[in-house]
Amino acid sequence: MTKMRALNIFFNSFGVPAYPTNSVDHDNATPPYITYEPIFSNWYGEQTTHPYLNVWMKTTSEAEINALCDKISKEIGSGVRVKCDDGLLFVTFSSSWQAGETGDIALRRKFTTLNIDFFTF
Amino acid sequence: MNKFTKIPANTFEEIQLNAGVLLSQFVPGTGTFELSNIIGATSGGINFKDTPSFTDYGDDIDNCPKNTKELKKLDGREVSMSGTFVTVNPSMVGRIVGTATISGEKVTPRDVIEAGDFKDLWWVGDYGDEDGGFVAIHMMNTLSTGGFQIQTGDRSKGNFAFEFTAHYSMDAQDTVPYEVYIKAGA
Repeated sequence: MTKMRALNIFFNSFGVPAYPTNSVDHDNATPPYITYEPIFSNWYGEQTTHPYLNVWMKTTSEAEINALCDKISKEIGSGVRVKCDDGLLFVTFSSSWQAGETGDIALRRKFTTLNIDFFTF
Repeated sequence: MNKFTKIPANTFEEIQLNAGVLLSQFVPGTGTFELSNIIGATSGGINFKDTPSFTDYGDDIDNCPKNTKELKKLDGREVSMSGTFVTVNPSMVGRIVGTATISGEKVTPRDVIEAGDFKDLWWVGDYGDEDGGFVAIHMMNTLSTGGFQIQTGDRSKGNFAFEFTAHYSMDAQDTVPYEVYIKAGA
C-alpha cells in the first residue's frame, strides 16, 4: 500500500469520509467530511510534514462539530503509527482546533495542523 | 544513487517513538502495566545514561600505547535516569526526596538512608511499526541523587526535575543494576 493510500485509509477511520483537498468538490460533497492536504515526503527529504486537516459539517451546532474534532483528537492522542509499504508514518497534532470561514452559517468548518513524520523510503 | 548513502532495510521497524513512561512496575514478558504504576507525567522527554569508568593500566608504562585493550579495566558504572515531572503527589515527592517517610499527605525528609529508599524504576517507550512494541529499561535499586527541587513560572506548570541513580547490591555484586528489553509489536 502506498504511503498516501495508507494515509487516506487512516483519515477515513473517523466515521466520516475523508478527501485530499485537491480531490473534493465542495459543491457536491455531502457534509460531514474531512479534507486533508496530501503532502508527502520520505526519510531523505524533510521527514516531518505539517498538513492542514479540515472537518466540515452541515450544522449550526458547535457541540456537534466539536464532538467530531474531539473524537479525532482522542484517537490520534499521543501519536498514531500508520504502516505502508515504504515504512511508517507517525501522525501527531501540531496545533489546536480553530474555526474556519465557510461563507455559510449552516456549514461549519474546524481545522488543525498535524505533524506527519515520514519514516519511509 | 549514492552507493554508500543507505539505511538498513528494517530501519522503520526499529524506531523508538515518543517520550515513554516512567513506571514503578512493568511486566516485560507480556508488555503490561497498571496505570496506577505510572509515577508521573513528564515534560521534555527522559534521559538515561550508563557511563562506565575505566582505568588504563598501561597508561604509565613506557612505550605502551594508550588504550591497549588487554590493559583496560572497567572500574564501575554510573547508571542514571533524569527528566522533569510536571505532576506531583506525596508518593512521587517521597521518591524524588529519596530518603523520606510518607505519612498520608505529609512527606518528611530523613538524613538516614533506609533499605526501602532504594526502589526499582522502569522506563518504557513505544517501539517499531506495530502497537505493543516497546523498549524498556529496568533500573534496579534506584535512589534520587538529583535532590528535590521545584521550578515554578508565571502562567506555566511547575517543574520537578529529577535524577535517579541505580545501585549495585551486596547481595548480587556481579549484577549490573540495569537491564534493557526490546520487543517488537505484533
